[in-house]
Amino acid sequence: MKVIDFRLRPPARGYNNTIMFEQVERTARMSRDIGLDVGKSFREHSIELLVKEMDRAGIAVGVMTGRTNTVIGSVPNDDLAAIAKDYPGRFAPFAAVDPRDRKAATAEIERCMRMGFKGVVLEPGLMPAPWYLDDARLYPIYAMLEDAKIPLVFMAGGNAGPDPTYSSPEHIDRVARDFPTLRIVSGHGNWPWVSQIIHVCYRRQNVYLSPDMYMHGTFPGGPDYLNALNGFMADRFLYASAYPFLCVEKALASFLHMKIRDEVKEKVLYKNAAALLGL
Amino acid sequence: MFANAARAAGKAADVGSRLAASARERSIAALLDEMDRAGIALGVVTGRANSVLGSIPNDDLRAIVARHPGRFVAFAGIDATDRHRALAEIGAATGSGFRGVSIEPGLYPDPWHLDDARLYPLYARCEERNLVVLLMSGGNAGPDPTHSSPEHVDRVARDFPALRIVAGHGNWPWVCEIIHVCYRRPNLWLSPDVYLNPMLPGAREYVAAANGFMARRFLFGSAYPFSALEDAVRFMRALPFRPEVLGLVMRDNARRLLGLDGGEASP
Repeated sequence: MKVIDFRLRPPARGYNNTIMFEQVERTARMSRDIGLDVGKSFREHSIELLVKEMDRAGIAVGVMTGRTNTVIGSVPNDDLAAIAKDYPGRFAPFAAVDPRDRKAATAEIERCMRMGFKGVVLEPGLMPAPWYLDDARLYPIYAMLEDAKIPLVFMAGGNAGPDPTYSSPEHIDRVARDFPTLRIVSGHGNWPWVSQIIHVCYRRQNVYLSPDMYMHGTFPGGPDYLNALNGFMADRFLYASAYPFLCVEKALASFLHMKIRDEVKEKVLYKNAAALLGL
Repeated sequence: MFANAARAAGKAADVGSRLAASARERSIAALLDEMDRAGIALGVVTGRANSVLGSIPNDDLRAIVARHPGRFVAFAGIDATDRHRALAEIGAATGSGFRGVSIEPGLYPDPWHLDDARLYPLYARCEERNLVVLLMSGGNAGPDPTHSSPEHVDRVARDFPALRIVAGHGNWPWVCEIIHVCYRRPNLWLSPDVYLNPMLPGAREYVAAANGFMARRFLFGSAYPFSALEDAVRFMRALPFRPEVLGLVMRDNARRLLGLDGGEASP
């Protein structure tokens, strides 16, 4: 079965300067605490090894999100374009923009989409003066994305900001309410607010859920994510490893070990993502 | 304001004026006579798009402006609750003689503050199109006094520094606070209109601001029909404006903001 991994940052170019690759022990510890492990490609910072790991696991495409912030590192969008070109069809780039300059941000989105990017990623909780996802200053950008039918990935869970209010689902709820045709992916699945984000997904048809690393092991909320996946979220659930935090092979094996209904598997592993990416 | 004449008359009486004959008769011909007598060359007519106080189609404004050349300048009324329709109205306004848009979000059935995120795509468009935005930001701007509180207009002015914003009703009664906001946001114009009145609190502070750093960003308004035009002008003349400031407030600032002398105003 073909797989799209919806959050996969390869060890190449600017990614190697972000803290997830620089602080090896931190990343390994976060993986270990979930009960899994990082991969050999991560230890060696080798995209060649990563592609082999993807091949062995059956991962056809990894969605690589850019990053632009001074807290956990930046990856220029041109680096993403170069990686996508070096490995044709294997990495789908999502452009990161700094929303503090609205006009520069929209111009950069237009430039990246012309280069073949598949969507946009925003992580406003990671700016030096953090914003919530429903900060008014983001609304002109959301309007532009909705009108241009560009999918949006949020860092909406886990360490999405300086405190846990930044992953709280009321913010993504308001954005989904105010832009009802904007397709929004909750990266990290608003973990740990699992019950609440499932409520938001239930009432907002344009929210896609991708808890990635946060639904493995014995972490709280895992069974709830799984029930949603097997139930009303079957068409809006996206598999992801959050590589490098989890080894792509081990993450997929762990995911396939969960009690996923057969008729849902292909959707969450491939079809839902393929539709979002327009493949 | 016209359909309920008794309410308008009561409000006018409260500030020492009366309901104008033109308002009582609903006669624009009489209004033009009153403008002439009061020495008012030009009136800014604002559209309105809300279900609480009634709506005025922007096409009606176009017709009024066309029928009385040189006497009225129009600001399009925008209902922001439907973003695409609102953006279309802004687009239509840009090309058809409107000098700005008027937004009154506190008057929606489900009221919004002026810095509601859902307004931001519209502010962005107005900033890009160089349209002046007139906000109903004082007086009965919403269901409670938080809607006239200046922190909301402050955030909009902060986030759209090239957008020229007029505080219609001057954020009254938050007079000291709005003067602070004006002091730090050079893209904000103040137009207290009917609330700048010797009988109401804040008049001294408004006038001191106009005589000082707000000399070029202070705009006369009557808020007709809530004040008769001649009374509104009389009140202005009775207030202790510096003579050279009165000319700016009564005429030159508005002409510059509206681009009536050619070119475009800058903050």
